[in-house]
Amino acid sequence: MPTASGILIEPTSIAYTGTSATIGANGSVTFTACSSLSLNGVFTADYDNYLMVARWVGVNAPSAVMKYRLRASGTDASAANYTEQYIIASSTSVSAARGTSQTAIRVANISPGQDQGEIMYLYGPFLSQPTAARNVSVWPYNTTNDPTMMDVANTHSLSTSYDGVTFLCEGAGNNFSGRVTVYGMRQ
Amino acid sequence: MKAMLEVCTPTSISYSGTSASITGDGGVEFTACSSLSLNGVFSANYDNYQVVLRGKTPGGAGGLQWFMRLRSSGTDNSTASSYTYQYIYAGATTITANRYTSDKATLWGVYDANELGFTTYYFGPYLSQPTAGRPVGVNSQSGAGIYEFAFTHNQSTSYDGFTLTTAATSMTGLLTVFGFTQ
Repeated sequence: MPTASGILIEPTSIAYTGTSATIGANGSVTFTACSSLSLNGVFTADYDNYLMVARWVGVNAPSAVMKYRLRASGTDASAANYTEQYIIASSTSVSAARGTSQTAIRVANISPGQDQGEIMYLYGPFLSQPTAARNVSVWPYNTTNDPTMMDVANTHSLSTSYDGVTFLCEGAGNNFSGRVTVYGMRQ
Repeated sequence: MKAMLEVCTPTSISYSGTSASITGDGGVEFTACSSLSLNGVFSANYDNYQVVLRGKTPGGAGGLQWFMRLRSSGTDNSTASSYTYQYIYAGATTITANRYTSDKATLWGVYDANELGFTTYYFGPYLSQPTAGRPVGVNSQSGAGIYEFAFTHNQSTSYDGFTLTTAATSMTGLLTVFGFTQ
């Protein structure tokens, strides 16, 4: 039997701000109306690289941005050590931007009540070296469900070993509901 | 330990064309089909899916699109204006983009008879909520190009399958549906 390409990883614990969050039987995390969600113990020495797959819907989020921070032993890395480059395609418009000195990894924007999906690769978060991340998203732009394409590349400059992440729905009163699963890529 | 991906073997398939069959590993191989339907690939076991496809169309100049409709209990959803898709195309130093609304989503476009491929991520097709998807593919116009799509389908319906059709005369290839374990 061939070796599986990736393994589902169950967090050792989670923390959240919002209505609820639970770890499912196999290790995925389902959450409701959270403004932040932390997954602890998902990155280990067993894997260098990871894939996080999520679907979620934003609530009360007219212009929210979904981001996440790396996390070590229960503490977020929230200093301005992240750099982002992104492309957004909306109708006939394609634009790109780079942000330096960011305090989190950008995933995608959120429109209120719109279901969206995210594919998020992380390269070397547990290693004591800078971390790279690459997100591919479909983001419904507005309440008419118009899909917007968003690709983001991120780097984090600190040579710190991280064992988790915290997802954030930025903006006062914003929150999100859905499910996220972390996989370690076999090596 | 649970593997990241599990093959979702169709409970059945149907097609118009020369042939289509379910492989021993659960994929679907198809030859010269104008339409190909997979039933029973989406289930309550998974929220999100990855469909990996290699394929080709007969030769012909211009954009030959591959389309998709979600499908429930053997019936395609062809509701007018229920699918909206966004694309970007990057060829050489030029990037173009546009968004369209239709009764089907476009997943891919090819320009010649070369065998190419694309991967589509489906988010929540079996859930009774709108479905989102993200196809990422290879295009061979002028040699090689980046062709990416994003789509939404605004019906809050639970779907167990999908149907592929094409603007070309037929499709030939192999696809496999994987569920992301959760």
